[in-house]
Amino acid sequence: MLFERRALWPAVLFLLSACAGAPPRIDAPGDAVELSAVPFFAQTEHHCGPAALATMLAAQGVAVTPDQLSPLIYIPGREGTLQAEMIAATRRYDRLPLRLEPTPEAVIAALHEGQPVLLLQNLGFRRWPAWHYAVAVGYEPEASSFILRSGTEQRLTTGLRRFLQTWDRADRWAFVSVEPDQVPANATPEAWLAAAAPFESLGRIDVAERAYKAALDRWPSSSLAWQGLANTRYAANDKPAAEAALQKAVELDPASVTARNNLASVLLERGCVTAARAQLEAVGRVPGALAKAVEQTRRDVDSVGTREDASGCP
Amino acid sequence: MHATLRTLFVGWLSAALILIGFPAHAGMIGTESALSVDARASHLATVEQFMARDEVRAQLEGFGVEPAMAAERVANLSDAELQQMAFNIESQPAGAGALAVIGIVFVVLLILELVGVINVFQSF
Repeated sequence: MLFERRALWPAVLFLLSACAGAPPRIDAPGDAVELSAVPFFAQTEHHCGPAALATMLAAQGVAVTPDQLSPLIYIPGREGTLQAEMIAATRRYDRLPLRLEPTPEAVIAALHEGQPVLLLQNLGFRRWPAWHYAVAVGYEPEASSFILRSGTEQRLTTGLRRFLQTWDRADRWAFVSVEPDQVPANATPEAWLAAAAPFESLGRIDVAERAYKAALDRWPSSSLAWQGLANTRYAANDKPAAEAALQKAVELDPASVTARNNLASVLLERGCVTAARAQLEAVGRVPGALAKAVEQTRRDVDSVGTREDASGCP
Repeated sequence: MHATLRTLFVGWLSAALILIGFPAHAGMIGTESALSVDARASHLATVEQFMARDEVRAQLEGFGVEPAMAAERVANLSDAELQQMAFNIESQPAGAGALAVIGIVFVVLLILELVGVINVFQSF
């Protein structure tokens, strides 16, 4: 074992140097950061997924161990864990799995906000991959190296070049887990809403709504965030609030097919046929994926015919 | 005759699944769909979603996940994750760990060494 290790080091350098260009550098890396309080779970064979996820969740105050996570994310026949299930398992613990921008700066920014970053690495080659999950817990600008909880190493320092090589080969996949109402400073509305919406699809309406409300605090002019809030209000049978949110969504993005379709649908439900029809008439080109849903709403409106509008319609 | 019966049954099943798929949200488009339309054009229809769920569950079982657990795991996947996993669990990156890699790299090095491409072991 000792022989392997010692032999490995120069050999790895030798092999990797073949594709090395100019040394990478970080723009404005800021101060050194290390989240020393992040716990460590050493992985057992092939179980870096459960170990890394437990590390990140435990850092967020979720009491969970790799052994508890394994039945949820480990695939014996693949001897590993897939990215989709890492994300899905994070949601189970009411944490929002937020994908990071694929830059080392985004990883460092997250660390400065106190969030450990779970990332996928390819420790092998593109054609002969060896996938590995690790958790970044620190960055040292002086040495230009990341500090990882990785495999059986509690504090592995990895130089920027090596870090980028292994991360690049895994398409720079990384995410943080946060409370559903704590939007990180560097989050984008697209990434936040993409992480929030699956809670809605899976019927976890309360969590989805927390995330949408937090999005609106941060980005009050996001039409999609208003649409998200409308969907959760609708699911909670609070239709007036859903309608109000959809009005806002249409106002902010008049070209949004989904906002107008959903508003038409809510209006129709309370008997406002004229207003519903007006929304549908304002819909421009419908993307193929939405054609069925919009067509259904049109049929619903048409089937009501020319009945008189209910009172109190817009 | 059998073919006709089967067609009828499949038709009925599809209709039933569509009905199950939209319990309360008659004309409402979910936020995940709204976002996926924003991001890209592809989208699975409801019946296809059900098939994808079944497919992924079967694959997980095939790869040694306990049936009850496989069903639960699939139920927790979002539409996008389901699409990602459907039909290619085999080829997706499966993070396994740093332990295996040492072995792989070592074997590669050993071969390169034996073939004479490198001679890194001589110095040890």
